[in-house]
Amino acid sequence: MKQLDHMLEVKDMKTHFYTEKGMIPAVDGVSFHVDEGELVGIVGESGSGKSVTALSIMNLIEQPGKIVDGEILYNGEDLLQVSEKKMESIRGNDISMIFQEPLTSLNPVLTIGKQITEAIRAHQKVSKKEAKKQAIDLLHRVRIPRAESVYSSYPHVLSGGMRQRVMIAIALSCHPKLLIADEPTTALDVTIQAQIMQLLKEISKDIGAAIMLITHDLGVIAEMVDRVIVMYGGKIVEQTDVHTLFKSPEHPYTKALIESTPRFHTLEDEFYSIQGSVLQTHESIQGCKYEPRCPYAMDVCKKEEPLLEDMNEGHKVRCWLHDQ
Amino acid sequence: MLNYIIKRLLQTIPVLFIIVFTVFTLVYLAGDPVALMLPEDATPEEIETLKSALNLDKPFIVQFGTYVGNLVQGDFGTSFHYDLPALPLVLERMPATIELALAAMVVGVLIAIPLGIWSAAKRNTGVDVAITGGSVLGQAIPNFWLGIMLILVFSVNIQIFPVSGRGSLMHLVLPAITLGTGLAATVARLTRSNLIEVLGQDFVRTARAKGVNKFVVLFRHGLRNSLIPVVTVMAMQTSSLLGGALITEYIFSWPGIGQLLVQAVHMRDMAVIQAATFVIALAVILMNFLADITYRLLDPRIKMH
Amino acid sequence: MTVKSEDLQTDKNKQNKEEVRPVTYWLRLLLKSKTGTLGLIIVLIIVCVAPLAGIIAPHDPTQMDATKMLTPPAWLEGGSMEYILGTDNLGRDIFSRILYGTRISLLVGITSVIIAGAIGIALGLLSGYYGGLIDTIIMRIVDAFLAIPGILITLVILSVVGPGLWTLIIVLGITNWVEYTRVVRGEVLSVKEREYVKAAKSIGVSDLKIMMKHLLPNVASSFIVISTLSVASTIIAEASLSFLGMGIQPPTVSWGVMLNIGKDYLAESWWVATFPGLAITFTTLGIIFLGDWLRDILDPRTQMNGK
Repeated sequence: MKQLDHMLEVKDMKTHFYTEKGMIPAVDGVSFHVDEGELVGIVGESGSGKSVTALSIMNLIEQPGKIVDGEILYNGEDLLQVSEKKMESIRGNDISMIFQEPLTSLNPVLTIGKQITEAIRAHQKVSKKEAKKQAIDLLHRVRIPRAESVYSSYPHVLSGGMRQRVMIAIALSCHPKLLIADEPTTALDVTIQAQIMQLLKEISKDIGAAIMLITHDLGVIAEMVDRVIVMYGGKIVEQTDVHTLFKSPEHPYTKALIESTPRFHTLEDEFYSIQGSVLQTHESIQGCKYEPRCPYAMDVCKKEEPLLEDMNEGHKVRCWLHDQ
Repeated sequence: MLNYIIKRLLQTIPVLFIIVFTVFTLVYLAGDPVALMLPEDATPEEIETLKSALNLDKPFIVQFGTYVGNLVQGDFGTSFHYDLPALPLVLERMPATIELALAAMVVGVLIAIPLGIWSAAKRNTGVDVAITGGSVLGQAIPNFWLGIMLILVFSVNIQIFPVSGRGSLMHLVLPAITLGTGLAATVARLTRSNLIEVLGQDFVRTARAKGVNKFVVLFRHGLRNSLIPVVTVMAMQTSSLLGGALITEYIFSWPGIGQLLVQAVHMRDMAVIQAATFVIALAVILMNFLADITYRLLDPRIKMH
Repeated sequence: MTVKSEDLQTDKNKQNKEEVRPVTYWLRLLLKSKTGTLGLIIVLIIVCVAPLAGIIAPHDPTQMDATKMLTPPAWLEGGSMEYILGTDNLGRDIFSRILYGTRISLLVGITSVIIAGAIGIALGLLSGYYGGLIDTIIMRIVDAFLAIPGILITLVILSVVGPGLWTLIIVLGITNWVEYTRVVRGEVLSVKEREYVKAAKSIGVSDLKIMMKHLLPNVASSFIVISTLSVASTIIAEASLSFLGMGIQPPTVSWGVMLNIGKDYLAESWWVATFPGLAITFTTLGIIFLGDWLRDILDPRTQMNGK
């Protein structure tokens, strides 16, 4: 067997959307890796391509989107080359996913039990009775009170937080090696957010799953993950361990993100917000994508896009400021 | 649930009352039926006797009261053409109409729903374009002309199916297609659009993320959610289905309520018109009621209240 | 460059406002949809033919000719170019009669829909805005109308008042308002709760003004779509009733009347019943295509249909 460096390795992945207004490179050449049991965060504004990255790994990109280039190596096997059948056996079993909207992510006309056992029985040859037992166990594990009665209820009777717990139960039902959580707490109350994050961290540790956490919330990043990937305009702009990120962020965008998060700026500072908004990505720009909003923009930034360069010990930055 | 059913049933009483009242008023405004009932050489005395026997010399309110009183006892008056009680005349024709309507629904459901699913699953392919185009055409063609064309092709030119009448299964085929096409077109379009909408929803993505097979997702997650509105629309089509039956029965000489009604309209046989209208309205109300209940049973989000 | 991204944003805002949509914008949207374009072309053809029938038609549509009875279409044996689509049982030119038939179809279709729309919108506004007893009564009447097939109501009324062009138009108008009422009422109920309507009410704007100013614009797009599709169904209803002998009466030329005649000559002269039906189908198909396209662009909620 060949030597495996990383559990998941994404190499130069490009996912483009072909709309009436032209092609949008939602993810435009992204490379990163996730190791076994590791907690990796992907952070960025909406439109930065972080959710599309997640869906691409699951191979769940729908029309008009398409993964046009790159490799997604899971234990050395390129997921973009495997059959749909094989991919189905990986989804939910090896790699599973939790979505942003717990309110719409569960089927309203099927019971909770049915939706959990469906995941179990898709990957394990177990009897209905055994599946039910496992499902109720799972509901207990995600700390849902009255698990037996919830088992036979429909999603609409549960609160958003409870539904997200159910989603976690579904995602972890087959003990995946990697859990992709796409803004799992964004739609929830602040008080619930911390509980859900805690639960996610605990259970995945129990079963030894790695987590790829996608969020726009640096607070969550600081509490949850080991390593951070910052995305902007479909590209990775900075990548480093969580301590370095907050201690010495290098990319102007990362700095701005940290500045604009209330928890990380000191009280006497004026509240900071980033100028402008994410550009419509079909407006193709020659230079750096962040240049229009960047306070440090230089001439070179307009002309040419910088490369993602390794500064030291895995701290990678895509910025001309660090090329001199 | 029971409370809801009772509430719904109570709601139908004013609706039926409005229908009875409106049709009665129309008939009252139509004027004297006596002239149609008696021979042309009837004496004024004979006319007066008949009028008072029929209560026609009384004020409107009294006439209506008497009518409703009789109606509650199942007496819808007498058909002057057949010289028979109107209600039994209508009820006698009911099995034929039900047979035709059911056959049309079979066309609508068993053909249109699979076509709608196929079309949605193969979105934007040749299959989809053909099915969508066909269903728009099905909506555009007036059903009575379709019936005439079917007779022209299948009864006159290649004599496969009989031109008219009721009896064998062969007699049923052309009328069922005539009546069922419009329904099928609506159902196919609706199934397709609902399914496409449902397949784009988050929970379908969740199911796919669980590793559930594509076709299982289509049927288990897609179909049930998208068929709920189809059930409602099907039931709401009962009204236009029975309207279509009227004209279909006329074309194929199908001995149902529709044919009876068209004859009655031509002959101004008011008792039959009133009885048939009442029976049809009752059937439509009943179907909508059943659809409502089914809808509530299929969709757990809706509570009975 | 910061300025540039702001520009982009204001551009986007502009597009969201309806008043800045120029004709070319609509035309571009139209040409994007093949069926929409086809629908518009068909409707334009019909609309042009109706007033010009007198000029285009080769014959007087009511002129009988005992020597030319049931002449087949031009391309069949015995047919002649004089009667392209053949003649009917009284020797009248079918092609000319079809051209003239557009007049009745359009007249009945459009006038009835206007009547129905006026009644329906008025009742819908009343019902939705005032609620309470008015709402209950109107909704029960709506239920009653929904419980009886449209063609049956019209037949019953026509059997009482007698057939005829204007009675038919009025009867079709007063029997087809229900859909408007339901849509308008629903829209009113949702708009009523919005802040700006509450605000208008709180500063003492009269009910009528509120309805005209705030509610009607919100139902305009639904109104256009329902009206377009109603014209198609009304044309079919007119043809059905005339076919049954309870609508348009000869010698007025109507496609339904032509079909009524044609059905008796199916065995020997198929063309008498075939061409008027094709004309109806062609017309309704065009209107449906146009209506579907309008729905797609006017109502974002139905975009999912791809319909």
